[in-house]
Amino acid sequence: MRENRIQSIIIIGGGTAGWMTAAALSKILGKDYADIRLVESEQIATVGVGEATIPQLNVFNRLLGLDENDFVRQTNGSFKLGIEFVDWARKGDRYFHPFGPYGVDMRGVSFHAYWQKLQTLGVVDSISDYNLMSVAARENRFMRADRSAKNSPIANISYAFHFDASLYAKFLRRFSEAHGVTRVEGKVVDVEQNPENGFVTAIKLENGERLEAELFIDCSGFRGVLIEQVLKTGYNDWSKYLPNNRAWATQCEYHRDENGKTVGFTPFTRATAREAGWQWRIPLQHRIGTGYVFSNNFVDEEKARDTLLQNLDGKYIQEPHLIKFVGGHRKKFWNKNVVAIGLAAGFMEPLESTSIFLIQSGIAKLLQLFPDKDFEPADRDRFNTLSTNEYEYIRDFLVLHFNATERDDTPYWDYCRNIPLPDRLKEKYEVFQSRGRIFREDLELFNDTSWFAVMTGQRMQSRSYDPVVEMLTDEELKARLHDIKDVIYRSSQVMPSQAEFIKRHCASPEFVHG
Amino acid sequence: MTALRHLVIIGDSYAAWMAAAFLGHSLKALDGRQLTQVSVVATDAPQSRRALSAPPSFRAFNARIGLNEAQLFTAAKALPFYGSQYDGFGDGTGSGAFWRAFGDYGVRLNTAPFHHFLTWQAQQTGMVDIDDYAPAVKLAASGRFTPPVSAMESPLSGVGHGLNLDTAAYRRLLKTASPMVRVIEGTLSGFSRDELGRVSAIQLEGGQTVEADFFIDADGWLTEQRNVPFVAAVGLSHDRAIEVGALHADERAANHITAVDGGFMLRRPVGGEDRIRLVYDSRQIDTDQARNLLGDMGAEAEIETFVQGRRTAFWQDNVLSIGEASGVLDGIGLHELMFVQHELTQFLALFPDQESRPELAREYNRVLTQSFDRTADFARLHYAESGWSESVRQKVSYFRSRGYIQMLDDETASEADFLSLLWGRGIRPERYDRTIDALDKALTLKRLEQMRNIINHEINRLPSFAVLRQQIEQAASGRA
Repeated sequence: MRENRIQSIIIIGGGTAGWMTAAALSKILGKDYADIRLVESEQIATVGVGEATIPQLNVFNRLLGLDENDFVRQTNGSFKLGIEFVDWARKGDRYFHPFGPYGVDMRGVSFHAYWQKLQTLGVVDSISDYNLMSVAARENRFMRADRSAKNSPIANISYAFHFDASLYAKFLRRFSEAHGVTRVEGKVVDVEQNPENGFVTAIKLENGERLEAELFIDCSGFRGVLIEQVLKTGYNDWSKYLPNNRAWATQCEYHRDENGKTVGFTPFTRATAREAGWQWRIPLQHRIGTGYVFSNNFVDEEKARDTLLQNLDGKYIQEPHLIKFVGGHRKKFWNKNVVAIGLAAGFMEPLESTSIFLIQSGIAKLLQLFPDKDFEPADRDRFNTLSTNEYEYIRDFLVLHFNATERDDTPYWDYCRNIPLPDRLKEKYEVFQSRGRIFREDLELFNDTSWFAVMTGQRMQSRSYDPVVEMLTDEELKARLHDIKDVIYRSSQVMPSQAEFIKRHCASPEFVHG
Repeated sequence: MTALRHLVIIGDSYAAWMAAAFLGHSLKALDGRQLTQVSVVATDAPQSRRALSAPPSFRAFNARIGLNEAQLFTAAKALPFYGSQYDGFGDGTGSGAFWRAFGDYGVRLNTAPFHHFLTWQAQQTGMVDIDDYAPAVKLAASGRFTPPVSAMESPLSGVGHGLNLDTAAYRRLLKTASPMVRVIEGTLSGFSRDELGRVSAIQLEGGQTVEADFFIDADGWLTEQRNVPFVAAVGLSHDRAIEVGALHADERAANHITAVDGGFMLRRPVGGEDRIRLVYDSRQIDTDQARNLLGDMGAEAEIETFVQGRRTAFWQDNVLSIGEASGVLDGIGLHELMFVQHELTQFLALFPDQESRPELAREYNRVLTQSFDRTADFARLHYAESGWSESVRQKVSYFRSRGYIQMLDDETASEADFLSLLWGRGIRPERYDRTIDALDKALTLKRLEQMRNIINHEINRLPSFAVLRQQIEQAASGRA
């Protein structure tokens, strides 16, 4: 089998996707397995909107053996406990989609059901009170889990990161080069294919250089230099489900109070609904990344740009730039000997910070199904099926945010309320509405906590709840839930502020928070 | 919503009484808030006398209905077991002798599932014994026993025992554990529907009518009468079983599953005896041959007939079918009790009210039929490739090519179950997870050796199972 192994790999594109792929392959395959080259051009800008992540990135970082403090410091990174959604179901609404579960399950029944019961007893409280990440986020607190604090919520703190994607790419470039990856500067101008089977055999660069390889990984972004321009793979257009097709992206400074201290260094991403889309806000150590994702069928580009500029924390550092996209994915993620990863594979708006996760997941699947020279069609098919399912699950979760709303103040929201629902999502609505239960599919990324957080946050109601909760009397239920809330609150009070935590462990030279 | 007034369970099977005890206890705790009355219509259908097995999670079910293990030992002829020793399940290659037990293999050394290290070790050193890394197999094979260990650092921490029990005795025990449940005895003669087509009442011979707003059919009669379509499980051909008792043959907490041409023989210890069950295909083994296979004991025993498969819907209108009324398999996966447990907990989570809510039934049917089909797939994997479904083929090809076991939702078998069976039947991965290549080879080999040593060391300190079994059986006969 050894002589059959792939000996040369070319990665096209040096954004987040390209360098994450290079880092993982070089680390896992080791120096002697294959020759890995990455071709990128300084003339081509990277998109780099994916500055917010989900906790799965920790798995990737551990795989590479990264020191977390070092990684946060070098990318001007900060910590993320979840996402705050503002103005989504109604104007004036706010809810938090946290990492990590609510409360504790009792008697084999999920905590959600107990909370639902509590609502029927006339107790007004927020589901967020039962999740440490949500409670800590309110006061901008952060720390890592203390595993020695058994039985305390402090032992289970789930978090992800915000970071500067271009610094992350640089960080991974240093890592990859140290692990034997060769970087080649240049733009691809021509591609050679095997006339018999259409496999890509070589690429030619602007300077005339010709590079051969057995496996090509297309990380060239929306253009899809190999997967689309050469192999004409085709694209599944999801515009009818996900109407947004433009984003203005920029960066701004933090607002400062009268004492000159920064305001709003939040350990969470914020997504604020606007008249024809939504605005992201990603707080880093030195600045805020922000942008307005919208549909140009409902607002013109100039007006959208003005909306963004009117809604900045502080003055902008970078002229807003426009990104055009179509939600959807390539019909095949792996076609012949070309595997597409990152934006070359597909695009879904960053509402739930899934872009970097999808890169990571693409890499993980590629490693699980790593080809040899035979390029088994069964492996390729499996890769494509798994990837398609993954995109669909995430798409459905995104559609939920737009569709389950009461907003009727603009034509955009009228459209969203009437988005045609995919069947699986329709099922999910029905099951939730009748019993407050989450219908979960095999291998779906977002778990029942996530679905519950967003469904309740979007004011979706269920008619009843799991009857097993009736086994506690009303008084017992109130008392137990009160205790849980209390323990969570008290646990949050031992956490330092995020600014203090970063200062102590991983501040970059550009850190601006006191 | 309006709470159910009357729920009727039909049948006298173990599933009927599991439902009665489970709903009776829930009813008691619910204090009339979701349901007012539960009755069992105990039909006079003959009940087979047989043993069944359950995984460690069965303890949760019994705890919920107020039964502890000691009660099961004394009153349900239960005995603990750790796993099953298979023989003759090779596919042309090797002997097909292997173990499947409750508990994982090894401890993860990096992000790769542990069993990739087995493939790696085999490729590095040319030899690997998968059982060296399975504490539950070691316990079963060495005839030792331990109460559940909770210390996280012990290699035994994930290991629990399942139970074998006698269903006739378990039914008797469940009857005493079903509070607030009314029992009506009789023979079913008919049923009536309301204007929506829902079942409104059942009639018994002698003219008695039992009205209710929801029915659980654990007998099969009502399901059959209402023509809920049955689909046969393709590729699963066993359709007969004979079960007999015999003296204990072995002093280990283990079952034995031996392949014979046209079927298999399952031997499991319960309190006071071993139950031996021959399950076979009547097209390959005739009645005389079957009786001969069981020797003297087989001459008189009753022959059970069945068809493997399931109903297309388990919950239709206001009738839920459970146990053998929902579906039947040949039992090689030891899944029966666990499946009823799964049916009941899902039903309670989606508990209906008086109104018709099709989305509840749809969700229930989605989860349970999927779970049934995946259980059937696990059974298929025991037999010749010609009977495999597409999903089994895919699972095997993925494992063979990549070493990954694709675990889906609502499988009744665990990843370790699949690994034991795949590996045991001689299906080996061609490749292991590439992350292992990033580790230091000598160090990894050393860590694997340490893992084997620790498991051995821990197991060898434990007492033998024979002593415990003797105590259990003495206590039970003392009571009887």
